[in-house]
Amino acid sequence: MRTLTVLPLLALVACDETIPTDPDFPSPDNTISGAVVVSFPGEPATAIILAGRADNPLPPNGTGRPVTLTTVPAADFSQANGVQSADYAMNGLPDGDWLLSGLIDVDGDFHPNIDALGGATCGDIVGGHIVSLTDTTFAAISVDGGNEATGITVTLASTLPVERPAFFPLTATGAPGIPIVERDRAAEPQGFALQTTGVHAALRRPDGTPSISYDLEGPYTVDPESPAEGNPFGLAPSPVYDVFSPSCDTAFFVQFLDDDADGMPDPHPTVPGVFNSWPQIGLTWVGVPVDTNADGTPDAFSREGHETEEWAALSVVSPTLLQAGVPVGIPVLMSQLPVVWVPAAQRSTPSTEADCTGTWANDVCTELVTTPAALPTGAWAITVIESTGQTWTVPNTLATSSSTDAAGFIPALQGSFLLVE
Amino acid sequence: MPRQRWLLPICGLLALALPFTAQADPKDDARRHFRAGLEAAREGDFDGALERFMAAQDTYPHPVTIYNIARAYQDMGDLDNALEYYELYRDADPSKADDVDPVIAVIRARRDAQNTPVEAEATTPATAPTTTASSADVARLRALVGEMEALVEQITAEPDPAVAVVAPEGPSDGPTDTVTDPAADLLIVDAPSFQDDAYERVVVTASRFGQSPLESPSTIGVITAEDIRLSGLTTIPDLLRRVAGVDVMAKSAGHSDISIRGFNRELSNKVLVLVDGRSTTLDFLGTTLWNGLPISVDEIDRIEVIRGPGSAVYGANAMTGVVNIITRTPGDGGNTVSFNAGTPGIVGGSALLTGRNENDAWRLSVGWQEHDRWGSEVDLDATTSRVGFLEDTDTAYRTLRANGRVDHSFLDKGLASFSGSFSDSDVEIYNIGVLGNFGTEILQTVLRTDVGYGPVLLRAFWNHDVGRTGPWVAPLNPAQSLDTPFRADTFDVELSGNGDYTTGPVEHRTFGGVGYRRKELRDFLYMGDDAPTITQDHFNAFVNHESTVGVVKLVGSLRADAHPLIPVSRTISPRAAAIVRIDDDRAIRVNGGSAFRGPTLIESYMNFRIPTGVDGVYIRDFGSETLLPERILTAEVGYHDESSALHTADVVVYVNQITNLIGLDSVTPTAEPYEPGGQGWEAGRTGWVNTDPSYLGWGVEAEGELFPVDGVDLYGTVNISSVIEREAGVAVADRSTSLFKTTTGASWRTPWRTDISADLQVYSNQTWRLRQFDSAGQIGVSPSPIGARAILSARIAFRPLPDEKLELSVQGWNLGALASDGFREHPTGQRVRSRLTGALRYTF
Repeated sequence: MRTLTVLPLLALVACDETIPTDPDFPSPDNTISGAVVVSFPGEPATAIILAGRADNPLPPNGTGRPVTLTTVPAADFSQANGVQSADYAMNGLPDGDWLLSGLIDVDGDFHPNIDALGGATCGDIVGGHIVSLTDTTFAAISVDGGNEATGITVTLASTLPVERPAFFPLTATGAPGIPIVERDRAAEPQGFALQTTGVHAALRRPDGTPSISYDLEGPYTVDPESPAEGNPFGLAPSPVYDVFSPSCDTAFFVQFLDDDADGMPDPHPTVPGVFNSWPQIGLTWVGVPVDTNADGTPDAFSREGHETEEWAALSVVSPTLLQAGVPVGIPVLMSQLPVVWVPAAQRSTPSTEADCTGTWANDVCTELVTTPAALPTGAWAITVIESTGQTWTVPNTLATSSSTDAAGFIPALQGSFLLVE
Repeated sequence: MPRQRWLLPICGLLALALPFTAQADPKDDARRHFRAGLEAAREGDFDGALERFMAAQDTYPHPVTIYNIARAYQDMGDLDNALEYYELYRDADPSKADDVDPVIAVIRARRDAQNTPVEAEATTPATAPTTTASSADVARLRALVGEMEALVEQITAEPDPAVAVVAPEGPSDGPTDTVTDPAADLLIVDAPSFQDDAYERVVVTASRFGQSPLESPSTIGVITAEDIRLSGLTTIPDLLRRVAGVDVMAKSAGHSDISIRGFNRELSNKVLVLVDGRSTTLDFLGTTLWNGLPISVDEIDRIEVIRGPGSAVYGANAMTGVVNIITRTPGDGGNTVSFNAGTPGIVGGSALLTGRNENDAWRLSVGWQEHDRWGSEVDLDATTSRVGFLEDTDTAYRTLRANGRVDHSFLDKGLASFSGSFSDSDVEIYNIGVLGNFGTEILQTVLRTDVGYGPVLLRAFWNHDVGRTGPWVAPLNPAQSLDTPFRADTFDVELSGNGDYTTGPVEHRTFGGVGYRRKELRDFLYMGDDAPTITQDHFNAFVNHESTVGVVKLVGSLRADAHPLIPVSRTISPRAAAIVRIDDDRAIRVNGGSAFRGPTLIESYMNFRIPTGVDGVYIRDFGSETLLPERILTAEVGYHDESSALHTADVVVYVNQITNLIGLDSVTPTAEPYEPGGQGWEAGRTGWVNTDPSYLGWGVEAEGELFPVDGVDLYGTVNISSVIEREAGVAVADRSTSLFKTTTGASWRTPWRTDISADLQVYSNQTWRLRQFDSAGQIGVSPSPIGARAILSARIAFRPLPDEKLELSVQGWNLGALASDGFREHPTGQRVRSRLTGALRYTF
């Protein structure tokens, strides 16, 4: 009897079941891992690796923003023959194609959560996951199904020769302030100017104690009397620009592209009637300035009526620089940048594919709006994107910081924007 | 549905043998027979009383029943059987020997005298008396001597309320054909002669001493060992589902969160869980790891659940209720060996040995249990971007446990008890909010001693918990690792005493004491990268007083706790109750009180990086040493009815006010430099605060049991409860607890050694207001509904052997999930599926 009762129970034990995967839980994120290799003779520093979508690359190849990042502490690096290396793992990536870029934060001033501090500065080592050492094009990495793509090397070998283009806008009179353009006068060229600035800001904790200091030397000053050292192009001194030589003062790194080497500036690939040039100037609609506390100064932005819309526009380097003597095809440093406003913008709204009259992807419909009257009025943020990938945007968080050099940095100017009326 | 699942009931059925004549022993049936026997005895129907007492004894043996059988035989004049059963009574309860030995002596003497025939003396003329006694004279003389000796003993012994000795009114009238035994009239039973204290329900948790539920100052529910056996359940949380007012939320098969009268929450921390009065709470976390308790359901005598504040008796954390798991007294019950197996991945076994001798009793138990997860969020076999914390990521919990206890009686009134236990567990437990589910390896060790003499008791215990915990499944090499070891100790000592006294018509009982508790936490990285040692010393004093006059009993309780971070004034916990006995079997109870939950060590001392989903960016979470305790104020009215042997009923209406709930504050954005130790940047800060909302809760709880015929038990509960959250003048219903819940069940102990039982629990829908960080770092509320659900369970068991020592059973829990994907009990929890289990149990 005992045997007869035990055997069926053993059969119970054998009646196992596979644990079901619950379909209501989201698909797991993916991981990209590998080694980060740095060509840098100095002491190891923190490496930051950024992931952006391949269909919306990070500057300078696009205007996308990083989706996620990871860091590799300096202590993780081993060094041999002037090359430093360490392992990394980038987690939290949804399914898709990704581009990895990275930097060695030599001066330790990078911060991903503070908009003004989220960029590589002069002297940082930059790079990414490239096709090969001879083809430095960024290579896309595909991941899906909650898997890990291994052996992805991130190569950081380029030292940034210029500083971030920290700036503030100028009004039509050339004074620091909020420039204004008008939709009603869109038929005539309207523009504004940007002025580089040094940055000497102190961010503070709620209790008032300083937390982060941010210093960018500048502004770059053009020396009209002294030609650039070397001057390989034999260009004459200019009050507008200097032939490029590395400078860690904040400056605009300007170049009218001449990829076909015909001595003429190339046309812009998307905006008719203008030239292809660096830096790129992007505009994004912020909203209508409002004065919530009735003190006469706008302190917030209203998006009423456009809550689900995102607007992005391009402005271009003014071709008047060519008339001022800026050479074609040669990068130069400038401290002031005239900009032409292009009265057109791209509008993105959530939409079904059936309802979209423009380009539809990922439940978003994107349309090009060329009717000036259809553009939203109000404040537009100004972003300068250098050919190095370095960027600067106003308005930014530094507007509420404290200045540690009142002569060299005026925080309030970092709260400026382009006002479209 | 996997085909294998259907093999289980078939596999179980293979184990069934042909049924034989049944013999079941439920205490409730025995009570019914016993009460009927008392009624018959009061009416002078001793034959009927004897029949009923015999039925009770056959159903559920009890020493008092044996005594009453003896008494019935005595009153019927059957001294042989009376003597036999008095001797059986003495053997069954040696502590009553002093009381029953005189009775036995008298009965034996009477029996002997009756059995000794005496011839009539021949009448002779006045002649000198003979100097030689006849044999009959000698026998008679001996009988008289024996009776006189017994009478002397009777008179000099302490009075026994069950037996009264009345002197004869006058001498006998002379010689008779049979022995005229003057002492035959000496032993006259004076009512009440039958004892009535058998099979009565006793609860201890409400007042920390034994009392009838009719006398309890708090609403109390009881799950008996028989309830546990008939349910076939092996987890305590599932047993608690049948108690009115109790919510069980299982986000995984590894852990359940228990709440009482609302506040259904993750890592529920407002219910105090005890094992034989010892706290099982992990003090640093504020919750109990149910599947890591070092006891099995086979060792449980009963589970008492107090609904309502219990801080007046137990101090901190007995805020909305107390669950006291009372284990069997060493020496009680038999030895058992049991095995169980089923789906999903259920395997377990236990062995319990117990025994006693004159002054000592012992109990030793070992066991293991494991259970697979309900479901998996990630197919780790097909995923390479995740790694499991535990080696086995399919098992929800696995526990190996052992415990032992020795009780020693000394000097008549003394009792010393020493016990130790350990459990080694791997458990899946859901953490709060975005942290998700964690794997925990934990070794829990307990040492305990109780030494009492008379009314004074000294108790001490040491809980030692060591382990490590981390996300159940984590990304590879995260910048902010959540893995951490921990080592927690709780040392507790308490001195208590009680006394009874009378002032005029008023009977008083006072129970009070003082206590000390030390808490330590080490190695826990959530307290800071250097894992500082956290130490707290707590002191307490408590008193509980009852005064009874007539049918009214008034209860007053008060406790004060000295907490290192909280003013004593904030921990004062009073309780007051009035119990009116309508009659012996019905009572009305009105009570009110206040209780508190002190902040956990995490809430007070935390220094922790909360991942944000972006490696290298985290939110800093700080504890606060200025937190006030959570507070509850309660009033309730209840009615308890045991007026017949066929039923029990309890109805209670309550209202609660809760304030100062502890939760996470909104995130304050911060700008901090890169932190190499954290491998990232702090994007904001939050901390534990006393949140602003207050809560008003009310409810009605009704419970009832029916015992219509032998072998059949019916039970049911109905629970209506509501909690309203109020903040800044806005009131919102908190529907994380079902507004309506009902349980109905039935069990039938058939005459064929087969038990059949079924249970149905129905919950109305819930809406969880999930507090989560939004993209701006602020705490937002996201309503997440859960539909109504029902849990249907059934069990069949039978005992194939005539001695009924072997029991084989098959049980199914949540059978409705066999035809569906189960249900969730929390929006982010796993789908709760069904269990099909077979079990073998042998008692010897």
